[in-house]
Amino acid sequence: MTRFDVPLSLDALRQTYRCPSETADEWLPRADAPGWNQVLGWMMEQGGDVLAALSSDLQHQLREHGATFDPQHQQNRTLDLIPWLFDPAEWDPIEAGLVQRRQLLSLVLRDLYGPQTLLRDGILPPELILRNASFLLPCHGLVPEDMDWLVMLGCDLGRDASGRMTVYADGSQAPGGMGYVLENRVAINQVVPELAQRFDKRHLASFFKDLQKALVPQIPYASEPLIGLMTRHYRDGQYFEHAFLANYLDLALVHGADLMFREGRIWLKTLSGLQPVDALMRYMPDNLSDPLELEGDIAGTPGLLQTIRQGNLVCCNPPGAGLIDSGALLPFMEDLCQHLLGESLILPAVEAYWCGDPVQQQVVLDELIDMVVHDLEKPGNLISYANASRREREKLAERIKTDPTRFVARRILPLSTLPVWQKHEVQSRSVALRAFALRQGSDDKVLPGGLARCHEQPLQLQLGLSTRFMAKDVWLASPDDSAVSLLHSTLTSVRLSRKTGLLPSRVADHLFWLGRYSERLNLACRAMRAALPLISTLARDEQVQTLTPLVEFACTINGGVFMPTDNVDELTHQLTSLFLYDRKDGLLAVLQALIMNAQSVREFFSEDTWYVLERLQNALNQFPARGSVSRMDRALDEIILLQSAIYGLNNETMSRTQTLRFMDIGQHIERAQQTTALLHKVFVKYPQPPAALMEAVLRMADTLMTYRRRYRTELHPVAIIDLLLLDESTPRSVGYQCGRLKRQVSLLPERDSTLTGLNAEQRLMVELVSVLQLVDLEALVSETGEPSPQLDELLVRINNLLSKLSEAITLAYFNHADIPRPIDDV
Amino acid sequence: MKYRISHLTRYTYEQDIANSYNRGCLLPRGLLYQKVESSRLTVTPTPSSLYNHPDFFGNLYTFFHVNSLHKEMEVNVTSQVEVMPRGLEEAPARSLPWEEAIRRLDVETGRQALQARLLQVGSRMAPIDPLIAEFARDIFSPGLPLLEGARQLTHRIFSEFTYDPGFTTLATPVDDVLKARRGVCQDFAHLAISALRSLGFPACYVSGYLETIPPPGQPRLVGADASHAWFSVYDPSLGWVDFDPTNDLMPDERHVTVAFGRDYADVVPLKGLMSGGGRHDLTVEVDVMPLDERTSKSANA
Repeated sequence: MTRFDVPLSLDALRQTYRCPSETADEWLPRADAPGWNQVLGWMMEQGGDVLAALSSDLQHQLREHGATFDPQHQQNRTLDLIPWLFDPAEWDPIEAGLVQRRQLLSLVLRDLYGPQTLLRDGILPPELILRNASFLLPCHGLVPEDMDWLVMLGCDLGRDASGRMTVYADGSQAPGGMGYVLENRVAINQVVPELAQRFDKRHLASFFKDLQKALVPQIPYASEPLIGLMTRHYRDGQYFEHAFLANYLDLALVHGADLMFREGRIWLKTLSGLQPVDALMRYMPDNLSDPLELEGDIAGTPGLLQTIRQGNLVCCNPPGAGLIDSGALLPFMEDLCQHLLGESLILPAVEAYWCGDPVQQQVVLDELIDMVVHDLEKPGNLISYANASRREREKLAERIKTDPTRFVARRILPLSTLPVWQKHEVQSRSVALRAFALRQGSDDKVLPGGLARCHEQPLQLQLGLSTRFMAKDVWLASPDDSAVSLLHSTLTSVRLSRKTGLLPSRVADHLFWLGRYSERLNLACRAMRAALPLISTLARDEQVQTLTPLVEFACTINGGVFMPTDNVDELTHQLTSLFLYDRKDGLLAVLQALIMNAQSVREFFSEDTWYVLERLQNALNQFPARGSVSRMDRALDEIILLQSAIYGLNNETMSRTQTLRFMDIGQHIERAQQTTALLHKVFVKYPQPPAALMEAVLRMADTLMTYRRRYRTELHPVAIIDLLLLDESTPRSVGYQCGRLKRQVSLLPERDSTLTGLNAEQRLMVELVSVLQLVDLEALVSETGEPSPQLDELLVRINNLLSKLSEAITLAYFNHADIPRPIDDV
Repeated sequence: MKYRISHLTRYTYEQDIANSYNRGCLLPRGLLYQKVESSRLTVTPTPSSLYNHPDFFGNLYTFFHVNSLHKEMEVNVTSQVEVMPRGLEEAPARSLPWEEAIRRLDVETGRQALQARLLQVGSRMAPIDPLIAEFARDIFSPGLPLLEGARQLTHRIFSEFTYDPGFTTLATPVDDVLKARRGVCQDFAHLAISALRSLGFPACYVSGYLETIPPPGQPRLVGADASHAWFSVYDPSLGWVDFDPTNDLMPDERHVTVAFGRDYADVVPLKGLMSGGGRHDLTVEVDVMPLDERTSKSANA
């Protein structure tokens, strides 16, 4: 092993580099090639400390892009400084092999979902397909003749024992990794531009341009085509890769619920109404894509299959293509190629066996330790007992013998190794390549490069994409200097013009409620923080009268019930029990709703925001509800501070578009409504508030200092109502919220251009603002401090108007975000 | 026999429905022994889209989307069908010994045989289950003709099970039906299919209608009929042959076939997704009206 404490030479590196087999290494046998000399030579010049810093910059860069984020905050991927290099002589056969494989598999799919001559002619055994859970009967005859069954194919390749690049897995449903490829290239270009510029390599942008072209239907449309990237759920491990790819390719990132079928087409439900979708990159398991025709849950869109059947949607790839992911075809690839294309496979296929054939089954059973077994009835279920006990292997053998036709096995490849920069030194790791082939019009394209995945154990790389791995950028030496290009210079030419107003209604809905819930949580905590100190400082006879309105406010803020009582301990208990886990109306429930809404649109928030949200979650979960008042007070301070940090971060990082607007509107409506409710409790329901309560209310709204500056008097109800209800310059007053709301509502997307005059929400805003402006302050409270009936009426009216505003916005913008649910079968 | 069949499904909702997506498997298919003279599916309110397409088994599916606000939706299918005699009364005696049937199936690659192999595999509602296999295993003594075995299985279900519309739902698993010894036509069909598949025979689910005859002296009640279901088993020499375990008979001119599938889930008459609506009520009225006079004994659906 090489410690990079001092700069080293390439020769020294060659002496000290350790790998299991020199011939099975990607670098050593090619160590004299100019490319490797350029790359590793440059690294030697830098020295260990610089490399360590660069490597850490690379990981930071990935985090910045957010693609590594998952709900557990675990980074499942790091990026290595050293790329994997290919020269044209090595790459050309790989490229030709991928083109052939995509063509072949596309023909296989068309046959199996159509005439099934492959089964009739005995090329494939019927059970292999017919009892395969990935073979979806409703997809029979799905894709029209002029469309392709396999627009995009992802292949996993690695070296076999003789050193040949071999395909060991195919991916069609969500050929993950393309987003990573892009990200890796961008990160390398940004962090080590000197290295990136040294090596003349083929660039990636033209492939992605071809991908966009492939998705645009052949018919020239008058308007810009709309292409969606359909992703399953924010909990999907690859969600951020999807978000990154959608952003780069200028595709709309959509969930099943953002789409709807109408009149033979799929439409995107946006804030500006329904927009027809021309094509979908479908990153969703086949069986979940259409809840009407396929089994599965409501992740997909009813009518999706019907639209494809009618030839009105280009789908990359159509549901049903996942049959090739099952591994069922692996043992038959050479036969299929001979039968359908009349030629041999260019890229060798991994040795694979179908257990339904007694001879093949025997091979599998004899060499089970060297196999990865696919269970065809459980898609994605890969079994490897390479590291398992003999007993476990015997159990699997028994299962295979009992029901042989459902199992396919492939031989584990030894894979080659590559140098990686790890822990301050150059080490060797096993490596596999995920490559991508594309059908565009009548052309076949292959991504010039791919995702290289490195791991200490070769087997781990052969069990799917889910395991943690170290990624590498893949560089193809370009013989033509003119093709050399940094990704950035071509990035702009790839972009279509960014569509405006295409925010899906569902996203706006989540953001609106995110705004409402975070404000609700904030106000409840503020009420509590204002109430707690009163317990210890007030005389006993004042406590109940002072505390009741605040406790009632906090308890009812999320629809809970308040029990009036004369016992201060009971009051305190009602307040602190808002932090109990099982309370549906409690603060943890508000937090849960807040986080659910945030996660549903998680691509809109920065990594920092997630970090703070997680701390907020911890703070609330660990709230010392049975601790002393001062401990609770400190916890509340922290919660409120963290919330302020989130507000600040959102304002700094979210673009000033409709996105932020909906969150703002939600927040302002909630604050205005709750503040109205608070004033009603303090001045109407429990009239003649004690001074300590009025002071607490001012403190809660951060306005005690303002009040003192402005009035320099005793606390008086009229002055407080003026400050918290009418004053338009106090950020926590109802008047201020209404001013902001009026502006935000006027900037909402236009829904109906034929409408003249004001729409419902604009009319409500005019009414709200004028109600506030026309208030006769003196008439609200009598000289003795008694509330007048007008005050009651006014507060109720404002509250009603705010509720109507919330409903009007929901009706206008979120209503078609509804997800269709099943009706009972009959 | 000629029939006019009307099959009405009505949904009534508490609140307005904005969007409703439906997939119907309601149009009877043509067969060697069944001629579909006419068949029409209408929906109120008028759907904004309606398409028919054949499925893998050759059944006719209807996809439709209603997107005008509605509180009630009616799907009405009217078909005129002629059912010819199948001439299969002697089939059980003529069929292959069951061991031979299984052997032949393994080597045949005709379209029908391939489809049959798909139906040899367990499905969600008619799974392969060793316990259910036990229920039928003793019937298949060595050399017994396959269809004779199916006939005896039909009789066993008919005589050992109680027809009880109150006991099961569409979600009752077939092993519960076996334990409780009661159910309706779907359950009996699934049980037979599950048993046959568990023993290695291809079997499929058949949805359709059965002409019901009123008790003597009483008038025929319009709309009192129901959908019916039975099963079919594959003999490589004779093809698919049907059995009705609910009525212990081999379907003939009084059974009108709508569709074949692996189990009920493949041929659900009407399946839908909607947005809005709250609770809903559902009425189904089926009427199988003979277009020529004759008499027959009554039967359960």
